[in-house]
Parts: sequence; C-alpha cells; structure tokens
Amino acid sequence: MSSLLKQITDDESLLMLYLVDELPVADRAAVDQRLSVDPSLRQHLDKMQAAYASTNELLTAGDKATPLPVSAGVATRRVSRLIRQWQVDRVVSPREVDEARAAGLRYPWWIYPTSAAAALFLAFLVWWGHADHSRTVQSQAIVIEDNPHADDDALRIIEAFNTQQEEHIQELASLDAAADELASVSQGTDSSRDLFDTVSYSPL
Amino acid sequence: MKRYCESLMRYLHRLVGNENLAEELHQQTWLSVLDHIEKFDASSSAAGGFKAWLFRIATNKANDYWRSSGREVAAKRGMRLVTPDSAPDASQRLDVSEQGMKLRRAIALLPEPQRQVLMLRYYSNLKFVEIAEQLGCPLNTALGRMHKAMIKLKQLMDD
Repeated sequence: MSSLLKQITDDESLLMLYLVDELPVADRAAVDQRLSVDPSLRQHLDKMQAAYASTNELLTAGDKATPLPVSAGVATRRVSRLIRQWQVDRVVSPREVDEARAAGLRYPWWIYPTSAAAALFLAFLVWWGHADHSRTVQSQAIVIEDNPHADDDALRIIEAFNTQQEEHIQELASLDAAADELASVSQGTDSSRDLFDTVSYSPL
Repeated sequence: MKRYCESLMRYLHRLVGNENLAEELHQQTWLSVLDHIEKFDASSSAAGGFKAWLFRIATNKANDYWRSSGREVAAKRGMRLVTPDSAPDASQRLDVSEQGMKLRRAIALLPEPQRQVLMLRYYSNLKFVEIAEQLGCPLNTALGRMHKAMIKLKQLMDD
C-alpha cells in the first residue's frame, strides 16, 4: 500500500487514520516514531480515541433504543417482492427498449439498420423506375398486342408513340457509338467528354 | 441482501431522519442495484467491493432526494435539516427512550457533510479512503469531517 502521508495535511487526520489502523505499515511506523518523542501528540491521540469510542457507544446505544422503521425481516421480504416484480417486468417489457435506453438510443437498435435498408431499397426502386426506358417501350408494345379490340385512333396514337420511342433509342445508341469513337481518337481527354456531352444533349 | 439490510436501513434512517422515506430509499437502492448490476465489477480493485457500491448507491439516492426537495442548499450551509415538514408525525414509530430521541436530534443537527461521513463510517465500516472516494472529496477532508462530527455530536449529547 502506498503512503498516505502526502494526502494528510494535519495531525487530526493523521491520528484518525492511525487510530483506526488504516495507515500503511511504513506510515504507521513514522507516526509511532513521532508519538514516542512528542507527548502532546500522544495526548491528542488519547483524546481522539476517547471521542471515537464515545461516538461508537452513542450510536450503538441509539440503535438499540430505536427500532428500525420496519423489521429487517419485513424489509427483506418487501425488497424480495420488488425484485420478483422487477424480474417479471423485464420479461414482459421489451428488453430492446432497456438496451436501447442504456445505449442512449431513442428506438430499439434494430430499427436503425432496417430503416437504412428500407431507404436504400426505395432509392433503388426510384432509380430503376426512371432508368429502364426500353422495358417501358416493350410493355407499351405488349399492351397493343394484347388488346386487339382497342379503339383504332388510340391504337394509332400508341403506335406513333412507340415508333418515336424506338427512334429515340436508336439515336441515343448512335450517339453512344460516336462518343466511344471520339473518346478513342482523342485518348479520353476532357475535351472529348465535353464534345460527347455537347452532341448527346443537343435538341433532337 | 439479508447481510446488508439492517445496516443499510439504519444508515438511510440516520441520513434522512424519516422512517417512511428511509424505507422507500432502501427499496429504491436495491432496485437500482438490480438495474445496474452489469456495471458492477467484482474483480476490479475499486475500493470496498459490493458493500461500498451498495452504500454509494444509497448515498446517491439520499442526495437525490435532498436535491429534489431543495434542501441540499440548506444542508451545505450547515442549517438544521429536520424541519417541521419532516418532523416525525403521529403515524411514525417513536424512539422508545429519551436518549434515543436526543441522539436523533443531535444527528439531525450535524452539518450534512459531517453526518454523511459519520454515518457511512459507522454503518458501512468502509475505510476512510473508500469513504473519501465515494463522497468525491479528498481523504484529508473526509477525515476532518469525521473528527468534527465526533466532537460536535459529543457536545450536542452533553448539552
């Protein structure tokens, strides 16, 4: 045990520790040395010892004279009932709430990765819905094939729309090819990329 | 629980001076032990082991009560803590002797920091190093409070 003398700044505190035998061996030896040569310190220790003993006697007598608020047995039984109820509550109540609360989370921990996955899935759906034009054209074509009894005017409009879509797709494909050719010629510099952008986004 | 029940109850009773409150704080202490049992490290070298941890929780419960009832400020000023509001009423069991009542009043007149150290030392028998750590004060301060509490208690009982 390391020395406590550095933490003690007055004789009362030092003697108190000496009195209750809580000084390390080396510190106790140092106090013994001082007591042997300092009678006033010895008197001080004796007074403190008397006060300490008197305090203990007072409190012991007071406890004997003062019953507990409830008997130890009753208090133990009541706490036992509380403990049983606590155990039941933990079974009934979601433990995740306790764990989340302990971790400082507002909601159960599993909600957070689930929400993130759901958000990613939604984002994918939105992207997929906007990105795949060819499938849309195909589905529109299928509508026409599966609906032979559609109104002729409506059919003509749909056919015209499908034709336009196909032409648009073919133009985009040709632009892609042109861009690839330009990129290979200009060795993939920024200027070719700018040229591709200019070509691909020109009004049709 | 049986090992610590009586000393813990008496400690809380001496600390708060109210029987019903002492029992309520006693129950709250054990519930808090259950709620935070995973935080207790029996293998650590922290002072006092389970007993120190138990009494630390009990002390905190008592302090929380004083804080919420607005009496901590009064306690720090060394004023009387037994006010007419918390004086024993007819529904509470009375001390069976005059000496017991006198001691109760004397303990209530001790300043809160001195009373805490004295009660903690007597009922938990923790070392002063452990008491100082638990109360968050220097060792020298805890010892000084103990010394002053002993002297003042003797004076009050001799009056």
